[in-house]
Amino acid sequence: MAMKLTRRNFLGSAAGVLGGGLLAGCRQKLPRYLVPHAVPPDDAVPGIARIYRTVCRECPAACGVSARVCDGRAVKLEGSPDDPIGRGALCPRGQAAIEGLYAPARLGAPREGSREIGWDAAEAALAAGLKRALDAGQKVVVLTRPERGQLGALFGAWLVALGQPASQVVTFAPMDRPWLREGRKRAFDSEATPVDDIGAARLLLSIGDDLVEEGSPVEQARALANQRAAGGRFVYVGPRLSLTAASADRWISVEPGTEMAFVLGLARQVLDLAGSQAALAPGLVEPLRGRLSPYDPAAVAARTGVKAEALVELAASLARERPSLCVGPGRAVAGADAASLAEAVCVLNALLGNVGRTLRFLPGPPAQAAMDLAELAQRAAAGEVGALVVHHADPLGYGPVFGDLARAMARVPFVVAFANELDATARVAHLVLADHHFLESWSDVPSRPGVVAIQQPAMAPVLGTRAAADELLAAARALGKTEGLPGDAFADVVRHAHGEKDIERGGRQEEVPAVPVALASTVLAGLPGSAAQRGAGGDLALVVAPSFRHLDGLPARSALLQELPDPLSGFSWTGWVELHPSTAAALKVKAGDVVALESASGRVELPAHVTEAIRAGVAGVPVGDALPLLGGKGHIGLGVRVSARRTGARVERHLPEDGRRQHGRKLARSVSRSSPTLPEREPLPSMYPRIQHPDHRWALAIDLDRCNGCGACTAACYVENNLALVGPEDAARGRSMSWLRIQSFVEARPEGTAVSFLPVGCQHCTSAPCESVCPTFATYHTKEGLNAQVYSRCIGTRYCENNCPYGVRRFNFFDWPRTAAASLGLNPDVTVRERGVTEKCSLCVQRIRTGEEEAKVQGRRLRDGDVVSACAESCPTRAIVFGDLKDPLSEVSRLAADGRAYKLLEELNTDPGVFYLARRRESLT
Amino acid sequence: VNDANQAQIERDTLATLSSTSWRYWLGLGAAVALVATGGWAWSVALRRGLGIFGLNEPVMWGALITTFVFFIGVSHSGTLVSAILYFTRSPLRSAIGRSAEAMTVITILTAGLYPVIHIGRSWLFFFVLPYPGQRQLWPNFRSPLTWDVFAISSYVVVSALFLYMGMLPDLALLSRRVTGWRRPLYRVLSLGFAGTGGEWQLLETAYPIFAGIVIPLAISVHSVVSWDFAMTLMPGWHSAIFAPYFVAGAIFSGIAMAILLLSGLRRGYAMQRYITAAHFDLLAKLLLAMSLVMTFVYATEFSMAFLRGSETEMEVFRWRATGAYAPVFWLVVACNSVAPLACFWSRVRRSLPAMIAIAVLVSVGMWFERFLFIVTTLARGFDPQNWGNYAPTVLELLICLGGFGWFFMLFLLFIKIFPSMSVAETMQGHYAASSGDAEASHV
Repeated sequence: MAMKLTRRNFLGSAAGVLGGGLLAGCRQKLPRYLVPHAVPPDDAVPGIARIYRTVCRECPAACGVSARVCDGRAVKLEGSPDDPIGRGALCPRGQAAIEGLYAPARLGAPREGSREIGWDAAEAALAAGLKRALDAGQKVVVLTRPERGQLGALFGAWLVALGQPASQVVTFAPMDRPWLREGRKRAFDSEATPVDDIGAARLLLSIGDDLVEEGSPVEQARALANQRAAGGRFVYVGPRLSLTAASADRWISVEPGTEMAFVLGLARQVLDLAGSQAALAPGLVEPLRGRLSPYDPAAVAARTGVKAEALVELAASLARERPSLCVGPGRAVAGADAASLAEAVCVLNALLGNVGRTLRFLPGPPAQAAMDLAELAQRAAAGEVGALVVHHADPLGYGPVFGDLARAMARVPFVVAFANELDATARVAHLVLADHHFLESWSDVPSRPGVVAIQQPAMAPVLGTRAAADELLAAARALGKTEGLPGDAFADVVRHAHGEKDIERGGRQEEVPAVPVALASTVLAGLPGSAAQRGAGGDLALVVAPSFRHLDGLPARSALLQELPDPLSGFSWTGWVELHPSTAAALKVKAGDVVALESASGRVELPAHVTEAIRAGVAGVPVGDALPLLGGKGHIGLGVRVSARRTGARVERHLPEDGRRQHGRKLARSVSRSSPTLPEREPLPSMYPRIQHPDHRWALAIDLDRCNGCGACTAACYVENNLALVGPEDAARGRSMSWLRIQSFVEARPEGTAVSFLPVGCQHCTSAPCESVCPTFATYHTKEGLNAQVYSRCIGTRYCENNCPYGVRRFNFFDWPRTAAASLGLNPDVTVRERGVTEKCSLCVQRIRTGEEEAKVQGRRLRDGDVVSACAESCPTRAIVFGDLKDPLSEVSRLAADGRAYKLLEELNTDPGVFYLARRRESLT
Repeated sequence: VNDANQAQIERDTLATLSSTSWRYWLGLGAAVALVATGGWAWSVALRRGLGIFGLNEPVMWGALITTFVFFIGVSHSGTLVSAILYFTRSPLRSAIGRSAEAMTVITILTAGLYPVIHIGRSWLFFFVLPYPGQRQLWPNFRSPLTWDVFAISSYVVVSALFLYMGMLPDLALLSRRVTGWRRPLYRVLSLGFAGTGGEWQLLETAYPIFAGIVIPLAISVHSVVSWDFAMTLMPGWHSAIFAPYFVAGAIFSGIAMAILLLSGLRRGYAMQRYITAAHFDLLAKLLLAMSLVMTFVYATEFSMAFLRGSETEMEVFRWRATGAYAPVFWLVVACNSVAPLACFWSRVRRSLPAMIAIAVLVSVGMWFERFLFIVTTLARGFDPQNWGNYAPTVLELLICLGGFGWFFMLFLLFIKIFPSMSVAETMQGHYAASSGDAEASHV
C-alpha cells in the first residue's frame, strides 16, 4: 500500500507518543476519514483528555503550559499550575498558539527555492551546502532565536564539530530590551540578572514599562494585580495610556523624550530627602548631587510638561511609601538614550533603598562570546560567510530596522532556514526545512537563573516535519564530522538531561541566592545633553505600542489574534494610529479616517483612533504596524518623528465613537480606595416567585480591580468553545462570534484620563429576558443556574438577541469557513454551530459536566475549584473566578458578598449570575 | 330600476372579470417580476445564510421585520374598515368593502412570509407551531412570537371567512353568468346559494356576527404584534402605548393603501360611477383623523420617555431625532404628520392625484416609521459598547420589494377571478337610492 495517511495510522502513531516514545514519521496529508481504533492504545480512553506539561514558545518568557490532548490531538493550552512564571495562566498569544499547529500556512515539507522536495533530497542539499562553505574556507554561522538550553549548547557543539568557533551563534531577539541590561550594567557595574518584586512594592513607578504587554506579560500582570490588591499604588509615566497605564492609579503623561529629565528630577528630590543617602557609598553623594543639580522641579516641569508640584509630591510619596519600585524604561519611552534612562531608573531605585528589597539580582549566566547581528551583516557583506543556518528567526521581516541584512544575506551562497511558516527570511533561503511546532518537539528553556522549563511533545507531528536539531546532526554525520556531538536523537539528549519527574512536572526550579550590587562610582557621569531629543522629520513623535498581537514585533499572522479586537482601540484585522483629539483636529482627521504616516524612512497608511488616552502631539502605532517607519534605527522604540496626513480614505467602524463612553450608566463602576464599598441596594420586587436552584448555582465573579483588559479570557474562550473566526469584513460589520467582549471606557477623572475595562459575556440571569421571548424554548434556565442554549432547537428568530440588555448573544450569519486542518484542533467536547443559530457563553458547561462526572466516579461531591471555566483558568491576574454560589465557602460566594460586588444593569432585575467587583480608584466620581 | 340599469350595474361591477387590458398584463407582469427577483434574493439567503443582509450585532431585526409589520398594519384596515362601514351603514362599503377585505387576506398572506424568510433556519419554521411531537415539546407560550402565530392565523381565517361569506351571492350570480372553467368553480364555491329569502336572512344574520368578531380581532392582532416589541425590556419598545399606537398606525396605513387600490380600480376599470369623489372625501377625512392620532402618539412617546427619566430611554429618543437616522425620522414626520394635513382642504380631498400622492407618502412614511423604531432601539441599547448601526443591503430590499410584488400579484389575480365589488350590495344601494329610502334598504 502506498503511504497514504488515514486516521487509523495517524492515531496509531499518536498512540506511540502517548506511550512515551517519539515516532518520527513521514506524513504528507491530513487524515481524511474517521476510522475508530480497532485496538485502542492501552492508556487512551476515547473522550477523556490527556494532559501534557510543556512550554509555550510564543515569546521568550516561556510560560509553562499544560496541553490538553484529545484522541491524539492537542486542542487547548492552559497555564501549568506548577510553573513559576505563568502559574497556571496564559496570555492571548499563548492561547492562540494552538492555532499555529493547524495553521494553513504551516510548512509540511522541505522546500528548495519555491518547490517542495523530499527529506532525503533536503538532507543531501543541506550537507552539500555546508560542505561547499567548509571547502571554500568560509564561515558557517547559526542565526537563531534565543536558545539557552540544550539546543543552544548543541549549536555551539555542532559548529565546533564542523571546525568553526562556537561563537558563531547569533541570537536574534527583536523584542529584547538591551537598554535595560546596558543601563543596569552602567549603574551597578554588574552582569547579574535583575528580578523585580513588583508584588511587594507599596508604590510602583513604571517609566513607560508596559508590564502587561511585554517582557513576561503573564507573570508581570499577575504581580501588578497582586500589588494593587495588597493596597499598593501604581503610577505610570509615559506618552500613551497603554493597558498597563490603564491598570495604574495615575497616568502621568510626559513629553516623549523627556522621561530622563523626569526621572532625574525625581532622583534629585529624593536625594534631598532624609535617609536616601544611606544607600549610597559616602563618596558618591556629592558627585551625584552635582550631576543632578540641573534637574530642579521647575526646570523639569518646563521640559516634561508635568507640573512641578506633581513631581515633588510623587518624589515625597516614593520616599514615604517604602518599599517602592521603579521599573523601565519600556519600549514606549525607549529612545536613543534608553540605556541612560535605564541607568537613571537604577539610580532612583538605589536612592529609594529598593535594591536588595524589591529589586534583587541573581547571578546571571556566564557571558559567552558571541557574534552580534551587526557583525554578521558586516561579515556576510564582506563575503566571509559561506553558510547561514537560520533557526526560527526572521530578521528580514523587520525590514531594515536591524541593519541591511537583506543585502548581506544575498551575499551568502547558502542560507538554510528552519521554520514553521514561510516568513520573509525563509522566502529568500535556498533551503527551507520544515520544523516541528513546539507542541510536537523536545527542548528546554532555562528562562532565568534557577528555572528550567522542559518542552515535550504533546502529540505526533501533524505534518511531515522533522526536528531541526536532528537535521543538523544528520548533516554533521553526512559530512563525517561528529566529534563531540551526541549520537542519538536530540529528543533523547533533552530527556537524558532532565529527570522523568521534572519532565512530568514541566520543569524544575531551585532557589538561587541573590548577589549584592551597589551603585558604581561613575554612575550618571556621562549624562547626555540636557536638550530634549527631537529627531528630524515630522511634527509627531512616533510611539510604538507593544501589544499581545505583536509579541515578536511583526504584524500578527494568527487569525485568532487578528480577530480579537484590541482592548483599547477596538480594531481587529488592521493596525491603527492613535491620535489625541487636539492632534486629530489640527490634522482635520476624524476617527476612522485613514492617515498616511511618513517618517524619514518609510510610510504607512492606518485608520485613526482618536482618543484622549494618548498625549497630544504623539502618534501611537502598534509595534507590528510601525516597522516601516523605523528605518535602520537598530531597535524598536521611541525616537522617530512622523508627519501625518489625511488620505481621504475611511475605515468605517461599527461601534460609534460615542459608544466608548459610559453615558452615566455605571456599567464599569468604581469605588474610592479609602472606603471601597458600594452603597447597599434593596433587592427589587418581582411579581414571580424567585427561581430556586437545588444543587448548584454556577456563577462568575469578575474583579475589575484586577482586570487589565489583556483579553486572555476571550482568546481562551475562542479555543475552548470552538468559536468561529468571521474574518475582517464581517468582524468590521459587528458580526464577530466572541462570547466574551472586553469593553473599555475612556473617562475623564479628577486624577486624569483613565480607562475602565469591563469583560461582558452572558450574565446567566435568573430572570433572563432572552428566555421568555424564545418561541421554541431554545434557551432556558437550567436548575444549575445556567442560561442554556439548545442549538438544535434554535430556528434563529434572534428575538433573544434583541431582548438581551447586555448584547452578548451571537448569531451565525454564515457557515463560517474553517480549514480542514483547523478542524483537527476543535474541542471535541463542544458542538460546532451551523448557520442560522444563536450562540453565547455556556459557562463552559462541558467542563461542568466533566467535573461532575469525575466527582461522581470518585464518589464525592464537587469541590470548589473542581470546575474552572476557560476564561477564569486563563486569566493572568485571576480577575475571573468561577464557582458555585450554593457553596457558601466557595471563592465566588465570598466575592459575591464583597462590598465592591455589583451586578450589571441591576435595575432591570434580571438577577445575573455574574458579579462584578468595582474597581478601586483614588477618587470617586 | 329597470332591467337595463341592472344589467349596466352588473356589467360595470364585473368588468374586472370580463375585460383584460394591456395595463392589467403589464401590472401583473411587473408584479411577477418583482416576486421572481425577491424569490431569487431569498434563495441566496437560503443557500449562503443571513449574512447577505445588513444585519449585525446589535441590530438583529431590520428591513424584513419592518416589511412584516408594515403589511400586518395594512392588513388591518381592510377588514376593519369594511366591518366598521358595515355597522355604520356607510354607502362607501359597497364600493370598497370587497377589495378592502381581499386586501386584508392578501396582506396577511404576504406579511406571513417575512418571519419565515427572516429566521436563521427557515426550514425549521414549524417549530413555532403547536404540533404533537415525540418529544412533547410545545412552543413557549410566554413568547410574543408564539402569540403572533395564534393571533395572525386566527385573523387570516376569520378575515377569509368574512370575505368569502360576503361574496356568496356574487358567486351564485356569477355561476349563472359565466361559461368555461369558471362555472364549476363558482358553482362549488357558491355552496348552492340560490338567493331565496331564507338564504338571505341566514346570510344577513351571520354576516354581522363575523363583522363583530373581526373588529376586536383586528385590534387584538395588531396589539399582539406590538407586544413583540413592547414585551421586551428595550428602551423605546417597552411602553404601554404600543398597542393603541400600532392599531392606529395600522388603520392609518391601511386607509392609505385602500385609497391607492381604489384609485387603481377606478382608473383601470372606469368605475367612476361607483367609486366617487365622495368616497375619496370620506377616506381622506379618516386619513386626516388617523394622522392626527399618529402625531399625538409620537408626541406622547417622546414626552413619556423624557418624563420617565430613564437615561437609556431618553438617549434612544434623542438619538432617533438627531442621530444617524435623523433623516428617516424627519421623513416620517413629514409623511405621516405633515402631508396628511393637506386633507383639511376639501379640494385636496376631492382631487384624485392629490390623494394618491398623499397615500403614497403615508405608505412610505409608515414603512419608515416601523424601520425607525425597530432599528433605533436596537442600535442604542443599554450598553454603549454594544451600539451599532444598520443599513439594509440590496438583496434585503429586493426581498421587501418582492413582497410588494407578491401582494399586487395576488390582488390582480383576485380581481380577475372574483368580483372586486359586491354586485349584490351595489344593486341594493341603487335600489335604495332609487326608492328614495336609503335607510330602509338595510333594515
